[in-house]
Amino acid sequence: MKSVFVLTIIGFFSALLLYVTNDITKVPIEKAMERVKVEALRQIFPFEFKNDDIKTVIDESGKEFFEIKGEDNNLKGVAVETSSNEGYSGEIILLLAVSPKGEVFDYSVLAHKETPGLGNKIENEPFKKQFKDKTLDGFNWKVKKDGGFVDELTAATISSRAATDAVKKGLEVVSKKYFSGNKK
Amino acid sequence: MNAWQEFNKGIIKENPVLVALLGLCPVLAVTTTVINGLGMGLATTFVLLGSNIVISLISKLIPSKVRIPCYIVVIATFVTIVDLLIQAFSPALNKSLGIFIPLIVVNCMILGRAEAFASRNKLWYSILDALGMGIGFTLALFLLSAIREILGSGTIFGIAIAGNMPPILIFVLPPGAFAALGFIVAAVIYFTKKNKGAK
Repeated sequence: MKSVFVLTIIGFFSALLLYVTNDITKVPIEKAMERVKVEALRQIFPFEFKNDDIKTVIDESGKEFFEIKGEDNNLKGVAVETSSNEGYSGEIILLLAVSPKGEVFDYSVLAHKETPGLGNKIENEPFKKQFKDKTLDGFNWKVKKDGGFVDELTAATISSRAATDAVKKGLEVVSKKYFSGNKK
Repeated sequence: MNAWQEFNKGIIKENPVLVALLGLCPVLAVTTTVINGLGMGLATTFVLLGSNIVISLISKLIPSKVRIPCYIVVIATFVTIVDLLIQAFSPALNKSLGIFIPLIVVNCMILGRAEAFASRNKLWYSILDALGMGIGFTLALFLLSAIREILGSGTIFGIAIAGNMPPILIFVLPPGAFAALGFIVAAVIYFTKKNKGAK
């Protein structure tokens, strides 16, 4: 009986302590996550923008689109989270920026578990540069080994394939929403 | 044993990583860069200090049958606090340490100190024990992560070091962690034996 009592008391005080901590850190955590997101968006668009210029649009399937609006409220670019399961180990998640004309600006890797020193080079400029200004049509979205246009990384064909796949999928999602039929 | 010895023992003589070989999961997993190693070390030290203080204060009230669940609740509370604080104030560290922060709960070094030391000693000694062990743990992580980062990535604290030596990739991968730790432990054993011989 005493055991139950003591455990309950300890559990109660733990819960109290965590409640207070959660209360204190809630706002900073939200702000930190927001900052990380804005930072990531800043990296992949080739132009400057203010925090207020970002508009988050969520479509019916729950997918988030980050629209960057210019001065007269015209669309300067869209970013979307995209991923691929074709990676060497686990999912690769990218944040992809697309121009209003459907060209790739750049992407940043949000999460991956590829081999350090080999597969993680998908985060580096020489590999990323290949996708710049490419559109869905007129570019063969495969690595060269599979008969496409993308130069795969040495010893990391699988990672290269997965990154290409993720960029392509992201571009498709954006195209479907913004460029098919009902143009905004 | 006097206070100084209680503090001192965790750093070299009973170092949790290099001598007792406790809590190796985070040691091997996060030491790819010095920043990660230090972050993990400090987070663990905080948890250890908190749990040692609380457990040494309440140990007389806890029936011995349920002592382990009680310790785990206390430890898990401090780990969650650290996790929330890191998420709030250091998102970059949160991203690179990720799942290994919540996993401090199962670091057997912390439960080991609670069971073997804090529950049997006074508050003041428990604090010294936690600080000593924490510093010992952090130092071991720092040493291992420095070796791995310099050899494996050619950087230290993320800054490239001079010299054109190509990085030895294996040191950022898990086998490199085992190898580097093995060499450090071997060196520690060698020097302790030598010291004993000299006396």
